[in-house]
Order: sequence, then structure tokens, then C-alpha cells
Amino acid sequence: MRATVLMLLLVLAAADVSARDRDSFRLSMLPQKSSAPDTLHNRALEDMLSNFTRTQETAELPYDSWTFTAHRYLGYAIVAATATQIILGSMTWNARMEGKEPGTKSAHKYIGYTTAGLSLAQSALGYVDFWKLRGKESGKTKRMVHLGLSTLATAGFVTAAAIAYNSRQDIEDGTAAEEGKTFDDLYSNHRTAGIISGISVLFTVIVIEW
Amino acid sequence: MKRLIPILALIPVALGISEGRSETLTLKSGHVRYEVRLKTLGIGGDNVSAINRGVMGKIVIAGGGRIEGGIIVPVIGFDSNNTKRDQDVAKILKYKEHPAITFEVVEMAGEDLERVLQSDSGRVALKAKISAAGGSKVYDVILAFRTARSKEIRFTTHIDAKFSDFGIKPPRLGLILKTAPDRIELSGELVFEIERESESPP
Repeated sequence: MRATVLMLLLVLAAADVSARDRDSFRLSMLPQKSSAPDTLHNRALEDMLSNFTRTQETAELPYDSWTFTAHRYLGYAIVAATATQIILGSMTWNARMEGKEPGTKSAHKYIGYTTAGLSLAQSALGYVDFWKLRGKESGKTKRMVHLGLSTLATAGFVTAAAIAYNSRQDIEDGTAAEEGKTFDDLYSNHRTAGIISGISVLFTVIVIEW
Repeated sequence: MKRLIPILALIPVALGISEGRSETLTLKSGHVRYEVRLKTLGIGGDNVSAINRGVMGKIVIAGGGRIEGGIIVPVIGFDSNNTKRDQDVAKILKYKEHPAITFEVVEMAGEDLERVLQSDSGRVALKAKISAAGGSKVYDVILAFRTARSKEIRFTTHIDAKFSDFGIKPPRLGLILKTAPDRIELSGELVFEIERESESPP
């Protein structure tokens, strides 16, 4: 009889504890320090990491393509060419203003045409990259400013090259002499276009730089 | 005897030794962020930060207070508004060999754990291990929490870390020489959904 009473008490206790535990975890059972005793045995994290790593086996860096790489290195080349052109252009202009034949004329001419060509290629790559990033909201304003400034730079370089070419033609076929145009008349717009391009390149680098 | 067997089987339940009783915190939403102060040619300061919303995580508080699971932050996933910088960061963190940054709780007082699960809001201290780029360090972390709805907890934290904690050299990047100091500030805001499992699985 005593055994039966004891069993009944146990059953009642079991029913009571189960009902309470359905609603709340028995935190009183927790030890003083809760811990993952050995992080190597954090099985749940290991499993999560293992599943995640499998999904990353073929993961590529976002927006990592040859157009981005080419655009970046071409950008560095254009910055270097622009800096060189500013120096050569100033030397050429100053020599002409003093009535001297500038020794920097050929270098300025060929580097100028190269810079204009590189800028056109650079802009084409830039538009491709801009299109690739069209769905990316973050940094959109910055990219728009970069696009505007670099387009202005390219337009300036091409304009400067075209003015220089036409002016050279006018000098060679005698039109400039017939019209009484001075070096300043023929090349001042070329210089302005070059300066605008140089400033645009400087700011486009500042905008996009790390 | 036939009656005795089921009664005996209830004894462990009566004593509260039910196995499989646990609480699972599943990450519902959130982000982590890093912030560094870059210097140009060793002078000045330019705060650079990036956010990562691709965080995943699950924390299981098993019977006996054992904490398992953690947070996984995909290395390819930081967005700083600068594509090149994000690519550089992924490379610095060795994304191919170590595609994830992990965060796991290694020690927490039982009473603090109880507060997190039962109070509406508060702050608790714990030790957490952060692993990145093949290195790891245990940090003393202060975690603020707030119960968002009946079944959600929002955690926020801020950790002052160093690149060298993970064996990484502070980066030097950019066309114009830009350097980052060793210090990197990490912060996070994560919302977990709580799932209580109070009965043994069948």
C-alpha cells in the first residue's frame, strides 16, 4: 500500500513538472557559468560553417571582371599621362609665347593623341561597368559623379586633340596665315579644353579613390 | 508489474531530467558593420565603414546551459559603397580559404542567460570568440538586448578589435598611399526568433 502511494505521488509530481516546463525552460537548472565548454565541439557552428563553406566553393568576388580591372589600370595610365601633358603643355605654350620653337612639341602631340584614345576606351569600359552596377543602390551618387566628371575629361581630351589637329592643318595649309591668326588664337581653346580635362581627371580620382 | 513499468518510466520526468529540452535562437534579420579610420600619407583621418546584411546564425541553448551555434558573416558581403574597397577587404580576409567570419559565445553566466531569455531588455557580459582569416580571439563583450515581440530578441553590440588579433596586417591601400591603423571597430544589430522546445522528441 505504501509503495502504491509513493508511485502515485511520483506520477502527480511528474505531471506537474511537465506542465510547467512546457511554458518555460527551467533556467534554474543552468549551472553558474553557461558555456560552450570546448569551442572545438561547437557542433552546431561547425555544421553551419561546413554547409556555408560548400556554398562558397565557387564564390567569386562581387563585380570582379576584366572590365573593372582594365578600367582601373587604364585610369592610372590616364592620370600619369595627364600629369605629363600638363607639364609638356605648359612648356610648349611658354616657349611659343616667347617666340621659340618648343622641343616638347612632338612628345606633347603624341602623348595627347594617346591620352585622348585611352580616355575614349576608358569611358567605354566605364559605361560597361556602370551598366553592370545598375542594380546596386549603394554608392550610386558617387558613381554618377564619377561618370559625369570622367565623361567631361574624355570630352575635353578629344576636343583638345581635335583643336590641335585642326590648328596644325590651318598652319600647314596657310589658312591661319591668310586669316591672320596668332598662336594664341589657334591654341587658346586647346589649352582651355586641356585644363578642363586635367581638373576633371583630378576630381574623378578623388571621388573614386579608396 | 505491468502497471509498474510505465510508472517507473515517468520517474526521470518527475525529477526534471528531460533530455532534448532546449531553446533555439534563429537569426531572423540583422547586420554587422566595421569601421576604420584611414589616413592619407600618414595624416588626417577618413572614417570608412561597411555593412554586411548577409549574416546567418543559430544559437542553441541546450539543457545544462550549454550554448552551441553562433553567427556566420560571409566575407564576400561587406558593402562600403566602394566596389574596389569591398574586393580588397575580401582579399585581406582571405575569402577563398576562410569564406566566413564566425562569432560564438564561449562563456556566459547562467543568471545573465536567464535575464536574456526572460527580461524585456538589459545588458549582459559574455566572452565571445571571433574567428576571421584563420585567426581568432576571445573578447569580453557587452551585449544589449531588447525583446522586440513576444518571440523575438534584438541584440546590439560594439567590439573594439584589432587587425592583428586575427594575424592580419593593417591594410595599406590606394593610389595615393592610404593606411589603416590596427584598430577596427565592429558592431552588430541582430534580431533572433526564439523557439522553445520543452518536450523530448518522440
